[in-house]
Amino acid sequence: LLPVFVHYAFIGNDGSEYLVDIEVYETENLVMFPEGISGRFRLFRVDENMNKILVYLIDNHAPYGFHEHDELPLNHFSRITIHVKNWQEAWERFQIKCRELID
Amino acid sequence: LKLKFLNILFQTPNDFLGEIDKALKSGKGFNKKEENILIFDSVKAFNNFMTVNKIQILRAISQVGPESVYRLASILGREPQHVLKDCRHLEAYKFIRLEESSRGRNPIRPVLTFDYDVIKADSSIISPYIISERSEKLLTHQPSVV
Repeated sequence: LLPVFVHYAFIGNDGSEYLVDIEVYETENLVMFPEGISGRFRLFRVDENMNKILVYLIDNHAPYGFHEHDELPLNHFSRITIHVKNWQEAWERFQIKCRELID
Repeated sequence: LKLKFLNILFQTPNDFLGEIDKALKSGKGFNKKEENILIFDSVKAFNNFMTVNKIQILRAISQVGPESVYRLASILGREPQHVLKDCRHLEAYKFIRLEESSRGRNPIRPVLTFDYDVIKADSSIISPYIISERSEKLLTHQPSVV
């Protein structure tokens, strides 16, 4: 299954530039990642000054488990738990967000 | 002497999402980082992104190794704020990194994400971009002109 590392650039249906960054890989840090897998699904928008703004993030680490950062880009520290069993299900959720920007 | 390539691929958003979906669900890995690949959604988007100014920035970073964005602007004869904006754009797409240093008046140092020699797009209508001095010598047999 692993690793998965990929960086993808696309123009959204609002005309903005978006970047998808996916990292899923095995790790020995079982304190932070009890399942032995570290990973992030990140979606960025490029603003008018060409800065990369994080607009959506799903990751999975202690003590939160799978979670979304639900107040991006303003507040990185707000998180809500999401009820998914594994990375495949987390990806499903992330993919829906991406599809909103391309359809 | 083997040249290092940064490879540009093109995939529509639907194809890209479909491929990741398949990779995650089928158990196949998908390591584009190791293969030095960046993916754009279209040739048009890449061409709009990769301007002459940005190519000159990449070549100057590779060939001169400026210690700051200010120095880079000076090498290129451009306004620092415009060069910084281009650098931020290149950084967003992972062509370069902007390293912050605690020393000096110009703390942001631009560096390539890895020491690639050539940017090669998977399209017959885009010629390879020669970035490093050694790729220039090997591929064009001409002296370096940043």
